[in-house]
Amino acid sequence: MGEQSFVHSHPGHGETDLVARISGGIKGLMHHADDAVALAQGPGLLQGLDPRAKVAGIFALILAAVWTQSLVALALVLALAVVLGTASGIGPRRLARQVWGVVAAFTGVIALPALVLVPGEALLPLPFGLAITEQGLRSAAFLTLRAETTATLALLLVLSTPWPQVLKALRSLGVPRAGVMILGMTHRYIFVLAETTLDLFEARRSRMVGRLDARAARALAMGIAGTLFERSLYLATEVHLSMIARGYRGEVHLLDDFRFRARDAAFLLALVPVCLALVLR
Amino acid sequence: MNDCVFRLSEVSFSYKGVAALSGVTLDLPRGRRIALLGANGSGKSTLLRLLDGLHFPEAGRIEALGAPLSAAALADEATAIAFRRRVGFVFQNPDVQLFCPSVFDELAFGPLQLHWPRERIRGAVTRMLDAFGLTALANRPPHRLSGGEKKRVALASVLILDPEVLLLDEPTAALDPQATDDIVTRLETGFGAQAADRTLIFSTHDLDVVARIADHVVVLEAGRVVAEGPTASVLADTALLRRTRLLPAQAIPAVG
Ligand SMILES: Nc1ncnc2c1ncn2[C@@H]1O[C@H](COP(=O)(O)OP(=O)(O)O)[C@@H](O)[C@H]1O
Ligand SMILES: [Mg+2]
Repeated sequence: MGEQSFVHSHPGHGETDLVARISGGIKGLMHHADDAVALAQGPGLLQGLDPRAKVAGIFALILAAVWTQSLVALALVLALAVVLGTASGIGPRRLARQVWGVVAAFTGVIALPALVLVPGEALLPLPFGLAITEQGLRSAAFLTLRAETTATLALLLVLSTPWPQVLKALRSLGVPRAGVMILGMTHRYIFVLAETTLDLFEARRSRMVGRLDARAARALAMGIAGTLFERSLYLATEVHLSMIARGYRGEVHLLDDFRFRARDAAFLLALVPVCLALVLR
Repeated sequence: MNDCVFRLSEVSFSYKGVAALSGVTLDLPRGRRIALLGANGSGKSTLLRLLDGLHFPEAGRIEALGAPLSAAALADEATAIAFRRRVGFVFQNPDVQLFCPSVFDELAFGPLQLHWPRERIRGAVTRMLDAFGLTALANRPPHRLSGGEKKRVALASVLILDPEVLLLDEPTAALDPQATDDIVTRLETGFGAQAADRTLIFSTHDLDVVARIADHVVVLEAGRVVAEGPTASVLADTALLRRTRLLPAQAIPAVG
C-alpha cells in the first residue's frame, strides 16, 4: 500500500524497525479509515439496509455467538458473516487482513496455555508431565472462534455504515445519550491521536542521530506513550467542547432520516431462526 | 454602556490551581470588531471559552446578550439552543472542530443540532460551500484537507448559523501567507460588513491582523486586562506593546 515508504526503515537493524513498524501501522490505520468512508457510502447488501435494522441484527448475531455452546453453530455464524461481508464488498481477504490475523494473535496468548492448563483427558502428551487435553482443545477453539466471529460481525457493521449513522441508530434503539456521546468522541479523536502519534515519532526520530539500539527504541516508545495519554485526554475534552459550541447536547441529528423498508424486515426475519437455533441448542 | 454583547465583572478562572484569568472586568460593545491581543499564555483562549459558555468563572459574573451566562442557565435546552444559535465559536485547532465524515456533513452539523428544517439546511450548505470555494471538496473527509482548507471549513461551519456574535481563537495561527490573507479578507469584508449589529471578537498576537480587522483592542497580560481602546491608539503605544511582549524587546518601528 506504499505506507512503509513514508518512514525511513533500516532493513537489517531490527530495533529501529520497531519505530518504523509503529509509524507504518498508524499510516495503515488512517488509510483504512479513508477506505471505510468510501466503503460505507458504496453499494452493497449491508450498505442498503436501515442502520437500525443493521445494528439490531448484527448485535443479535453477536449475542447469539457469545451465548451458543456449539462449535459447529459458531463456525456457521462466522460463515454467515463472511457471506454478508462478501455481498457488501468486504471480502474474506480484507477480513483476514483486518481482523482474523490480529484477533488470532491476541486470543492466541490466552488460548494456547488453555490447551494444557484445562484439566481433562490427554490427547497429546508433552514433556514435563503436561498434555494437551480434549477439554483444553475445546475451550481454546471456543475462545478463538468466538472472538473471531464477534470481531468480524462488529467490523462488518462499522465498515458498512457511516459512523454518525451508527451513533444515531444506537440512540434510536434506546442506548442512553451519555453512552453514545462517549463513543462518538472516542471514534473521532482516535484519528487525531493517531496523527499526533505519527508526528511525535517522526519529531523524535528526526532529533536522533544514528541508529537506535534496543534500549533507546523502548525508551522512545515509553516516552511517547506517556505523552499520548495526556494528549488523548486533552483532545477528548476539546472535541467534546467544540461539539457543544455548535449546539450538540448528546443527541445526534442527521440530514437523512432512516427508512425501514421491506428488505430491512426481510433481513431481520431471516436472522430470527439463526439466532433462535444458536441460543436454543 | 447599555448595548454590550458581553459584560464581565471580576471574572477569575484557573486550571487546577494555575491562574489563567484574574479579576477581569470588561464590557464588550455590540457591533464592533474586537481584538483580544496578548502574548502566548496571556489568557486569550480561556477568555473566549468563558464567553462561549464552555467553561464557567470560578469567581465573578458574566452577562451575555443581556442575560446571565452560567452552567445553570445553559442547562435549560431552550436557552442553550438560543445561545448557541446567536454565538458562534471557531476553535484555534480545526482538527478538534472537524469530526464529520464529509465537508458537507460538517457544514450541516450545527444547523441540524439546532433543529433547522432539512430543506433549509441543504440550501444553506450549498450556498455556503459556494461562498467559501469548498464546492469541489464537499464529499471529502475534512480531516484529510490542508491547513488552510480546514480553517475555511471550520469558519464556514460556524458562519452557516449566521451568528450575531462570532468568537475566533487565533484565526490565522499556523496558516501560510496566502491562507492568512484569505481568512483575513473574509473577516474584513464578509462577516458583519453588511449588518451593523454583528460583533466579531478574535484573539491574536499578530499586530498586522489587528490593524486589518479590529476597530477595538483589549490587551491581555498574564490573565489581566492591561489596556483597552481604539485600534490606532493601542497600536501606537509601542512601550505597552513591548512590555506585553507583543513587539520585540529592541526598538523596531511598530507595524500598522
Ligand atoms: N487545559 C489547560 N490546563 C492547564 N493549564 C492551562 C490549560 N489551558 C491553558 N492553561 C494555562 O492558562 C494560561 C492561559 O492560557 P490560554 O488562555 O490558553 O492563553 P493564550 O490563549 O493567550 O495563549 C496559561 O498559563 C496556560 O498555560
Ligand atoms: Mg490560545
